[in-house]
Amino acid sequence: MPMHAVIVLAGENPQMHPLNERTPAALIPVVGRPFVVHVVETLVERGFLHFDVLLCHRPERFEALLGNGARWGCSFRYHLVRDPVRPYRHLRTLRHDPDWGHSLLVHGDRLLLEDLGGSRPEAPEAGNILFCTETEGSTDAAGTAGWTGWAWATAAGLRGCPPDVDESGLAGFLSSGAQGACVRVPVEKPLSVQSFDDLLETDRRILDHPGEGRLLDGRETEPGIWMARHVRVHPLARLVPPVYIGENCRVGLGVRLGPHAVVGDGCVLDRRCTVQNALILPGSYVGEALELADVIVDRNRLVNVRFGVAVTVADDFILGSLGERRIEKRLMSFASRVAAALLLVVACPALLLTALVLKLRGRTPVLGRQEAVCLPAPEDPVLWRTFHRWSFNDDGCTAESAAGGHGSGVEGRQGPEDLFLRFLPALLNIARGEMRFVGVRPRTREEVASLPPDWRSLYLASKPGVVTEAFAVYGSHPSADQRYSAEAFYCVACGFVHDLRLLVRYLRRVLTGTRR
Amino acid sequence: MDVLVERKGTLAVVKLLGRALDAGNAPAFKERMGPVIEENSRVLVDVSSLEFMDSSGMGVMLSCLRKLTGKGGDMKLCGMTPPVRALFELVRMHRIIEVYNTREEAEAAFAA
Repeated sequence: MPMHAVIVLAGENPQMHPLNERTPAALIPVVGRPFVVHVVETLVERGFLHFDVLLCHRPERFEALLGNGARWGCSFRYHLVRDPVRPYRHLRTLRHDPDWGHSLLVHGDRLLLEDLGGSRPEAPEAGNILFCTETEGSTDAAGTAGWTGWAWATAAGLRGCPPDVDESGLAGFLSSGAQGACVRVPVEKPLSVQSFDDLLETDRRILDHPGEGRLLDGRETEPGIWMARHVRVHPLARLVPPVYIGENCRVGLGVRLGPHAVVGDGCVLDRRCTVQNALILPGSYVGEALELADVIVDRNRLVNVRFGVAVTVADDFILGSLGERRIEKRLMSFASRVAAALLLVVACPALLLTALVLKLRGRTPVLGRQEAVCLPAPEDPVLWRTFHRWSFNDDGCTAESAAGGHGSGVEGRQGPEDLFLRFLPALLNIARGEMRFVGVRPRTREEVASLPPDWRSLYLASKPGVVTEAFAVYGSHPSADQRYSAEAFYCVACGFVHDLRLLVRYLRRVLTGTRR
Repeated sequence: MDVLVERKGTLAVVKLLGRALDAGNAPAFKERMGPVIEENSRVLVDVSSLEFMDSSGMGVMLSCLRKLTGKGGDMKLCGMTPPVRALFELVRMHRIIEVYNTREEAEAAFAA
């Protein structure tokens, strides 16, 4: 009988914050491979061929990683859910083949190593089976305490799931006996990436029991020392087993690595540093003579697991990122600055004339500046830097700077005065590299902080510009929805051609008043 | 933008017939949706023919959703092609508008 599993990968576990800002917990590498790959491969080994996957947080990354399942000889169907805390609504509408019998419900941030095939109910009318760890002093009347997030469930059971329940509500429903008697099966604590502690413990368990589940990749060069390809270890470095070192890593002179150290792909451990009971995530640099224990390092971010505290280290020589810097972006930035500088020289007389006219009209001060957050910026507001955006003071500028919140405010002025009052002064910011010709609207700290989380994370990854998609498409007064859709779209669609197109639309709008 | 409106009980299913929803036809689509939103509280938009959507198209979808939810209704999308789905995932629109792979799943969601 072909076997079917539903993998829930929707959550944004707050216990993994801020690590899961960059990478959802189930995508965090565990001994060289993303945790979810371990889950899928374990299930495939046990004979599961059909998967329905519920996604919410960063779905594109999961789909890019897992693909259509062809490499494992199985099939994946992906479902986008709206609420990461209550993602089970889609269970009610999944297509279920009668040949499948019971489906295995799996939460993708946990992995049970027991072979569950033997526990699969044979009869379709049999009830649900919940896999639970034994918890001491459990007082849960519904009998759901200690649920591992894995269960055999009937098709009818999944279809009858209440639409707006969280995980504990789902456990209560599955064990309620509405679809027949529910059985609790005791199992060992699963491997898990639900918290920092769990992540380190998962690594420890895999290193201590490498044969269990066959999750360890790489070559065992010495007992307890596992290495992937292209690892360079200085002859005077000391490796204390068990240790795992990922691909393309460099371990320097005098480094003491281990016990229970996992180093991800592409890391550099500089001279004389000490790393034990720690996880170094891919692309991280560990500085000279640093001593790390009971920590997780994600490039320039350090998580002390003992205290549950995460800090971002600003100094690259202590902890840093070894990610590639895209040369195209640097060239574009350079070209933009040069173009702005040249335009500034040419437009100088126009700028002076504009200032004179405003002065004669009684505007004081003539030049206005507004503090705006430098982009791209990290998620942590403490690390935001700001710059001063220049524009000529006029009614429009006043309205813009007084605009509160993300949905209100003016994008610009409709006519040619926008060129003189907003565009030309901003050439100074563009020449300094603080802004670009085309980008998202520069915002103050407060405005950025008030953005909804999804919008804010897209915004912080973008670049500020004079010409915005919202203005080019909708004009000077877009609604909140139009502003969000324009900015979100720009954040993912921006590029040289798209920027050029927007620039042309902007010039057409301000010079001729036409929308297209 | 040509659309086909079909009524299934209290649900209005709107099937888009064009290949792109962009600045060129988004205003017309919004106008076309006006009466549908006024007369129905549950709307399913079948976007299986769309190969491209830009910010204008997204803005119209959001605007339609807001009008429906404002009067206690709901709107869902179904049948996204890979390019449109990729866009929705990247801009996190699936966190705002419920999306289903097929029309059957979406209709079942309305019925459930």
